[in-house]
Amino acid sequence: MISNIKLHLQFMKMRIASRMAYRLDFLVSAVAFFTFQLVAPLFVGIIYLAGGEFPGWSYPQVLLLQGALNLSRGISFMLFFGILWNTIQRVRRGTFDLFLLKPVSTLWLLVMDSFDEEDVGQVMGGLTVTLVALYFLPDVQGSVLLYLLFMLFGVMFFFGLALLSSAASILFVNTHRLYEFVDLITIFAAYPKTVFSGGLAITFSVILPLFVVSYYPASALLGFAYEQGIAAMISTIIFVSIGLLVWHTALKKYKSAGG
Amino acid sequence: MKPIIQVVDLEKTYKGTERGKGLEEAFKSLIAPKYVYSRAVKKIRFSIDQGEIVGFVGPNGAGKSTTIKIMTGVLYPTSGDVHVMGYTPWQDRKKYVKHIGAVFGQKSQLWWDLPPVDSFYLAKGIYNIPEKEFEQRLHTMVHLLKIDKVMHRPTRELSLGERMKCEFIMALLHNPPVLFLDEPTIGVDALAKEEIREFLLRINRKYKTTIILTTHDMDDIEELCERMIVIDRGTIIYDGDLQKVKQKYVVWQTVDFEHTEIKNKRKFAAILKKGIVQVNKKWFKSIRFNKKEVNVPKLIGQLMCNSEIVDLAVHEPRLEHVIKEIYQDPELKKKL
Repeated sequence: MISNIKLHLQFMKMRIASRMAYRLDFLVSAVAFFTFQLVAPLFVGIIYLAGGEFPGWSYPQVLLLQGALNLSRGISFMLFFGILWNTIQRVRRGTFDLFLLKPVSTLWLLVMDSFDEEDVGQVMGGLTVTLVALYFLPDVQGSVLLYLLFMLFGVMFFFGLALLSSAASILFVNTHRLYEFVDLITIFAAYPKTVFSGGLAITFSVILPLFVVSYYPASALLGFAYEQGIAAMISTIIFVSIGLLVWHTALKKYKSAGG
Repeated sequence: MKPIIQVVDLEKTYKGTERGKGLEEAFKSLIAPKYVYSRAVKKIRFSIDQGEIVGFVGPNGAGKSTTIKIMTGVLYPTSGDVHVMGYTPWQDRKKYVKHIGAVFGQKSQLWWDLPPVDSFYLAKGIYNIPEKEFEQRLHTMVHLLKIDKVMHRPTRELSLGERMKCEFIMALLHNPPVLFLDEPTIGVDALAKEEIREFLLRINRKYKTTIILTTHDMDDIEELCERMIVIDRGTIIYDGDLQKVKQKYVVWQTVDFEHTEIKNKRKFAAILKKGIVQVNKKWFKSIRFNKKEVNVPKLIGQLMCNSEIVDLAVHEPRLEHVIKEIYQDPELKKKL
């Protein structure tokens, strides 16, 4: 276990050292990622300034929700979501073979190799939005522990998405557009559950538990009722399990590039 | 002694799609794809003993790389069995790959923007190599391959030859008993090739490392292997001694000679007629003789009697040409 953690840290250090060869690119990317995180909260701010609102949610509360989304997304993108692009690139070039020649889990190796330090900008952006929200919400009544637990499930949900996307890349090779689909569905997570009709609300709570990345952690911290929150957690576990199963099945069907 | 590698009735069929030309066909293929099956490897069987260096030879698309990928655990076969050191590569992959090394000529294991030494330390972590063993092996291999001056420079700044040498170190740091090489010297200059071959022979002698090599460079095969497996369209057409192929199938010898005076023009012309004249300059000739029809040493004696020979050399065809003839001549394939 300790040697596994050491190896993971070694990969991270090498990724950072590798990126340091192009310092300017690293800085520009990190700043760009940070800035992008402020777009959605500013957009919602304009809605509130114009007199609009999301039922039952004040502007700082929506900021907290969007901060949770940016944080869980940023952490996921930094730690593992890069497996999607890494798989596409390696399967196309045939260098995915090299992972299969190492005496460690291929998935874990892929995750370690996909560490993306640039996304620290996304995490910082999420953290900033969350801190600003909390500044305007000094007396939140909810549970910090539950907030962190939902955040963990949020990161797990993104892991499930990354696994399914990576599996599709192993099977169908060029699947760049899948990311746009992922991006599209996470837009739904930027708003409170109360905005959605019954069918969509249930879908994103239980079937495709998207709300664990934003709505549920924010509700838990604000002390709001988080109906179907437990079902969403169970659903997330099932979602990740399906992702793992599909990924390993796809690996068995890996064809490699021509020799 | 039990072979270290056993391949029994190995078969691999790829499933792919096929479509005609044009946009209409592209749409048709999208909705109702037409699947085609290609048998890359057809029930091949062979075994390899510990310490052997075996050349795996064949034209592009013959099934060499597919066989190597199955033997390394990268691909699942359609049917058949492979046992390497008691492991079934695709079933026991994680445990198995700890005991093999691989160099794929066109797929680098090195980190492009970092010095090779960083990649070596990463390999140390992945294979859990004890510090002392690692340092010792690294030092020995760096010395043998003469890369001590380049291993601290970013990989992207190294020449292809230097990079390939580093790839070999990556593959051998954990001292694997079996080493798979898939076109490892592709594009590498002659000097670096020579150093790599020498290095491989040393490793093979010192550790009894079994080496399986696929290449299109017949010099690699001639310099390294005693045994050769020729594969064509998924089937093994020859498996055996490298020298025997030459002895059995090399029927041509070329005699190149430089001469001054011709003592007996009639007899001299008669000698030339026994072969195929390839070059016929005033003072230089190159003639190809069929060994089965002509006694070449006797013929050289006759040449010397009938002309003033200044210089003379007898060449056998290179292995490359022999293999080329085998690929192209179905009759020769049958004989194999």
